[in-house]
Amino acid sequence: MPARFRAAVRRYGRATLIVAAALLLYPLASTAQELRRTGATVTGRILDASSSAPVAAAEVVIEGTNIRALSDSVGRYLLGRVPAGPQMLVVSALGYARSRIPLNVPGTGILVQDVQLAVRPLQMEGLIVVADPSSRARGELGTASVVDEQAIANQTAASLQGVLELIPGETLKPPGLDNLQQISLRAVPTSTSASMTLGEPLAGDLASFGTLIIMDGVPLSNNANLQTLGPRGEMRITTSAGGGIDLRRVPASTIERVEVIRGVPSARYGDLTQGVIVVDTRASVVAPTVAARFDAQLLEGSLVGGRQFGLPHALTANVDLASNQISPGISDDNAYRVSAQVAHRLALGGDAAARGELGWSVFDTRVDFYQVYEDNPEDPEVFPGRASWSRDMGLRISERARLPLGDLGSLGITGSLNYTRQRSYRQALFVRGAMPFTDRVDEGRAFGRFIGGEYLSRLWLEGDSWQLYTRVEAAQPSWLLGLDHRARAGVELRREWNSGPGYRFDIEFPPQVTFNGVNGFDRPHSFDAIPGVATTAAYLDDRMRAVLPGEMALELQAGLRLDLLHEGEHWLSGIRDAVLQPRLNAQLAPWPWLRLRGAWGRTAKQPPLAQLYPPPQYYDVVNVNWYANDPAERLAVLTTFIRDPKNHELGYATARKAEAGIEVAPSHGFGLSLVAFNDRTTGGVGYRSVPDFLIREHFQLSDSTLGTGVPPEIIEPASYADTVPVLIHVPDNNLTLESKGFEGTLDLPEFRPIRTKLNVQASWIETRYFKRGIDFGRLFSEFQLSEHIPRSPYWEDPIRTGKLGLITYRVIHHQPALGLVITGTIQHTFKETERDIAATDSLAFAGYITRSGELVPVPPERRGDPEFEDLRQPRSGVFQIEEYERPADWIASLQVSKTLPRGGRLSFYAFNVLDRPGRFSESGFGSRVYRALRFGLEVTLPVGGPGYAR
Amino acid sequence: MRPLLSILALLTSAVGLPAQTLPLERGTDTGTPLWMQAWSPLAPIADHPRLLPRAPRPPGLLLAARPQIGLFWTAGNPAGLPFDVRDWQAELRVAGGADDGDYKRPLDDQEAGVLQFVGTSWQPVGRGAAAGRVIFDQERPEPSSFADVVEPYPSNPLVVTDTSLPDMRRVRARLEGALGLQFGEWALGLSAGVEVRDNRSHKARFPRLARMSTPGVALGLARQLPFAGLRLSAHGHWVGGRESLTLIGRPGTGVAFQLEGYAEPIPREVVAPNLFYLRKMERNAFAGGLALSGTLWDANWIVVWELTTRDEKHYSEQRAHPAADRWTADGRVLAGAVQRAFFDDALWLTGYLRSTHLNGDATRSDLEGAIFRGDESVLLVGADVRYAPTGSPWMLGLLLTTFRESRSRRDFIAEVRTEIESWTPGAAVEIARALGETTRVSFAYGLSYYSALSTLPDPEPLGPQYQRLIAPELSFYATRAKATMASLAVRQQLGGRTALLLRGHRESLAGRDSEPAVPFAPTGERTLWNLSLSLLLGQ
Repeated sequence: MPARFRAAVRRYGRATLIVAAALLLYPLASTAQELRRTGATVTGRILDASSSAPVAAAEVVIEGTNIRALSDSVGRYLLGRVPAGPQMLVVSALGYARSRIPLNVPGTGILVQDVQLAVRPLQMEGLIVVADPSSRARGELGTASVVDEQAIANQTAASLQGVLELIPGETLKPPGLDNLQQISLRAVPTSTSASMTLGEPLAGDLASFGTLIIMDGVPLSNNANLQTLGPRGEMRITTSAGGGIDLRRVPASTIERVEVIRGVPSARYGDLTQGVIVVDTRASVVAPTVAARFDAQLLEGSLVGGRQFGLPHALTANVDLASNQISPGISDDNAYRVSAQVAHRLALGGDAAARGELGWSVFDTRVDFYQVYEDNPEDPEVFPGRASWSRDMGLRISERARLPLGDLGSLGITGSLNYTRQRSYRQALFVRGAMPFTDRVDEGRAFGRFIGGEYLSRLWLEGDSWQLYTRVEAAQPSWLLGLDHRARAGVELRREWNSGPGYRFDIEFPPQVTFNGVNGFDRPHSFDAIPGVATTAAYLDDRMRAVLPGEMALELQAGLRLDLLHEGEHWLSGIRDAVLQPRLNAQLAPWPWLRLRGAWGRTAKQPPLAQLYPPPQYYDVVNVNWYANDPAERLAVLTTFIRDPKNHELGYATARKAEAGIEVAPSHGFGLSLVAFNDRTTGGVGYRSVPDFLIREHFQLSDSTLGTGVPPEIIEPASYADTVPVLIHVPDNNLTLESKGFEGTLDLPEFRPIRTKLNVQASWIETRYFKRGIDFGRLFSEFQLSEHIPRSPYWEDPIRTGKLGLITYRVIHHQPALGLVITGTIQHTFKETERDIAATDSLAFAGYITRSGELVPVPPERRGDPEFEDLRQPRSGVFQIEEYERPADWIASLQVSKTLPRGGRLSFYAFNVLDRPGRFSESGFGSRVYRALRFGLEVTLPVGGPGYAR
Repeated sequence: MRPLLSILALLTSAVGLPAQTLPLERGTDTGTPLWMQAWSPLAPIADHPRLLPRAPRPPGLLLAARPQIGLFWTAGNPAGLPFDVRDWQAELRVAGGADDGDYKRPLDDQEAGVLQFVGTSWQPVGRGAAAGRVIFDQERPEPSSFADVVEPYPSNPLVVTDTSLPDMRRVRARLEGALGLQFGEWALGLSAGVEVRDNRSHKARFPRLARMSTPGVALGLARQLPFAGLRLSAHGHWVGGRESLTLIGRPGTGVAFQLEGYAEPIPREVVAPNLFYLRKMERNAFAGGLALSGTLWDANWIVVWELTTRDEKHYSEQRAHPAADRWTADGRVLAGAVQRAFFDDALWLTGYLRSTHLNGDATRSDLEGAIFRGDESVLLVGADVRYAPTGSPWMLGLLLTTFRESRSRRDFIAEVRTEIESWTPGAAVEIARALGETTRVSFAYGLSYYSALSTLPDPEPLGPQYQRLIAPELSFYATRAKATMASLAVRQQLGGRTALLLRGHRESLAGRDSEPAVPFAPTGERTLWNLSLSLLLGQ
């Protein structure tokens, strides 16, 4: 048993393990119990909105449950044993738009809810076009926002990023595919300058890497993305490596529903630190629809449709093509996206078009393809030599099966194979002085050449990443100890690996300039040699409901998850790291209109392959540097050292998450939700500078007379040798990210005379981000090369902090009679600051490093002693010591949707509709720059007959 | 007797159908009658854009039976919606057009093609009514003009130009809506809209990027009085906006000229280290007015009175403070319309008048007092006659208009003054015929004559940029011209209240003098064609 695993057991204690074991065993004990349920009865009538005629055979479902009914000939429906709390009633019927109605279900009794169905969604009363904060992600009790298809359509987004703007704390962004798109939930990007100085990721990068994105039940993963050169590369390729998934790959047109679990997710979800985004693409029976979108930069077309073949089969297909000019009028940079999905559903003995968890086996097969291609051709007049392109292509095949097991519950099996093909190229003109150069790829001494002047560096990154994912999950409803249980237990297996040529470049013209005679140039690196990584997870989760005296209802969701990171490439290999993750969500509803909530839990994220298996680092020590005017007389001798920066202790980053909240919904249409949270992620992967030293030999030359036409020769053995301190950049679990703050949502009921309602979202986030490490400063290079400098100071790494306060107002004018929805969004940033906490005075040094790489700390009280005078240097580097505050300002966007004849829809959107540039700070320090006005039009037209609708 | 009195009323009362007109591109505004545009909350306030002379548009017999007048349609007061809109109508139109030719001003595009989508609808809703319109178009001038700003010929003399003629792509979206609710004798209304533009050069050596956002809001209150069908209304109207321009210097390119009137502008080279030339413009315009409408001798009439004010600030940098240049203008509007049916609604007469006046001053932050002053008046008088005898397949429409502009502009820096007083009388006739039960065709022809009395300065001492950019424009307006219009339309009823309308439209503009009377006068001809297909709903 590895040390980390033993440590994990010690860390979480035996008590936790005992609780886990009990949780694992008790559902088995309860299977013999009589199955009883608590809850209220929900009933009402389904009516046609225009004629008030009853709608028969409408399917009525409590979202995320198997509680389902069909309306009778007079439109009446009855749903029994509906769990107390916030629920979403979903009604669908042939020829009508699907309706979603939020309910506050009491613990007992009868709730009457009539539903009016309209042919077109925009003509439906109570249309929801914002994220719904009071509903929950399916099977989850934690804080979540749910965005349904009508809100997605109203948002007129080009990708998943645009949809996620509906989440509290997210800033408005222009639609399009211009740049890499990543999301970091509940984290504020902190000082960019400090990150650049120290070569570390931003807090936002770290948080986005820890945000799990589940698409159609399968996690998307960036763990095997190797498109990075590591800390030494000077020519970088814009990639999502080291951060979250590039959201551009998911077109909004294919999304049916998004659930964002911002709080503590259930134990079902792993490989995350910052939250979960669950994306469902369209499947089953979908009215065939073509959509076209046009703005000054983006041209997009999509086709989606699905139909039923007999009762048990349904086939759905989505195709989306988009072309995006990145800077039209200025450059020819373009981004393209091709996306296609095919989904097949087989409902054995059932109806493939039905929603909810039903009593028959369902097999969902998905094939998902995407390609995002970004092309930045050279503009010789403006930036000669600079050009790049990148082409990411992915193919995913997945199968999800849900098998009912009668009283034993159900069994879910998920399997997927995900292949990503990454091809990138970048070129740039570099200039470097004449310097000795060696292309040795193994250790040893060799004659070198002198290379200098301007050169075109070209870098290819060619890699393939693979992910194999399997989940087996059993779910079982039961009754035990007065509680209604829904327990889930599951096992996940993942394996991720790489292949491909990797980084390719000409060693003579590397993608870096810096060479100080010690640090060498990087060498090409193949991905085929990198081992894969296997992980195993097991979890148990139980959601419990109880009705207490009065109308009071209690819900608990408790779970335990164990993640194992294996030493080798396969699941049978040893365990490299293990994390136990207890999670608990609780909700108490004293009355149906009030809910008090709290949660605590731990989550974990595995390190990426690039940091588990970093390429070797090369050090080229110059022994002889004889640079004569005559090239024939020049002599360079270099010794190449190779250091392996692998860290065998590298393991999971873990997050401790806690939150408490309150939700108030006293009347229909009014809702208030407040959540305070405190997240702390430790063990994020950064680079640790490990001191080491090399032996540098100095040689005398046999004859250094100029004009001979031949180079001198070195005289063996070396006349003397000295030590050269170097730093090895070793990946380490040394980053810590702390985020705390609150999120609030206020929904006001519609003001009927003008059919307008207001939705307000507010968030306040404070982030602290720091590395457990050492900063050697910018003068370290001088110390390395000069044997006359005996020691060099080092400092503690700074703490980077940031604060962000946002209020987003959405004014929604809905005229069902006109089929018109106008959404005006105003986002007010009332606070945004960045600050680095770092001592920069001459007494700030923490110690010094010797020429043999030894670190010697100096206590603060001794730093003023005369013997340390040479160390008392002002700290170099770019730190934001003064608080950098951007002025408060606001930005407005507009979305308008209107029905067209034959069920079509015309949508208009304008980001930064007033083209506000951003306010300039009166102090002249700090400014706000908003992205420019961007607007467009989208037309959606159904192309199928009425038989497709439901 | 009554018809006679009505005709007398028509001729003597001030009539104002197009309360405001939109400065749309020539290629895109041929399909919508003026009376359908006047309610727009984005209608310009206290501004008289200088337009190319045109023949009257066809009456549009196949689009609507008659023009509408009223508090909403004429005064632009959204509180008038419940009174003016009683039925549902909608039009979805796609159109393409082209505008080219040499008879133009220096800041007009050489050639421009346009594609456009327009959706318009109005209908009763609950206790009131609503109206809305969306326009989305893309214009591709290839090549464009020296003008960098979106509107190169406003009343305001502060205009940015440069020396290049790049191919451009201009995308515009305009969205506007109005809602009026009736509460007993009272009515309350709100209209709001926004127009956004994105203009970019295409593969240019001197890239030009411009954006504009123009929001507008109008709020109105109306009261129905218990006698003579009188309705009294008050309205307030705001149109704001922001326009930003960026010119990007490339090696060996780029000189910008910031026109501030008739004085020779300073050349501003856009080269290193000043790689960008930025200009930001902020606009605010307000109008407040009263309108009275009623019925007299079976004729509906309306009179509108409005006071207007406008303030434009131009910044030389994105964040400069205070504004480098400023234009302020105050004005007034008097408008009215009258409409009456005769012979059992077989004959409809509509008369209208609109008179606007403004005084504006341009100032510079580095100088005291005004650097430029404009005093401008515009008068439009028109009559619309439609005759559709019962039982006959024929329909006849006649439009008579007179357009008078008076512009007095004085530059205190260059010490130059121009006076131009122009008249443009015109007429358009349209004949339509029903072919069977479901098909109707129409043909229209229109003609107008432009003539002017002008006092212009001698261009010789005023510098090369004046001669390149300003003198040709002044000569254009001092030259007599003739504009013609021909239009052919086919309407096919699809059943129920749905129809398709296909329209082809051609206009031309050319000088009337064989020899130019002034130097820099334009020559040649300018033509405009437009082809549109509309889906009409509710008609």
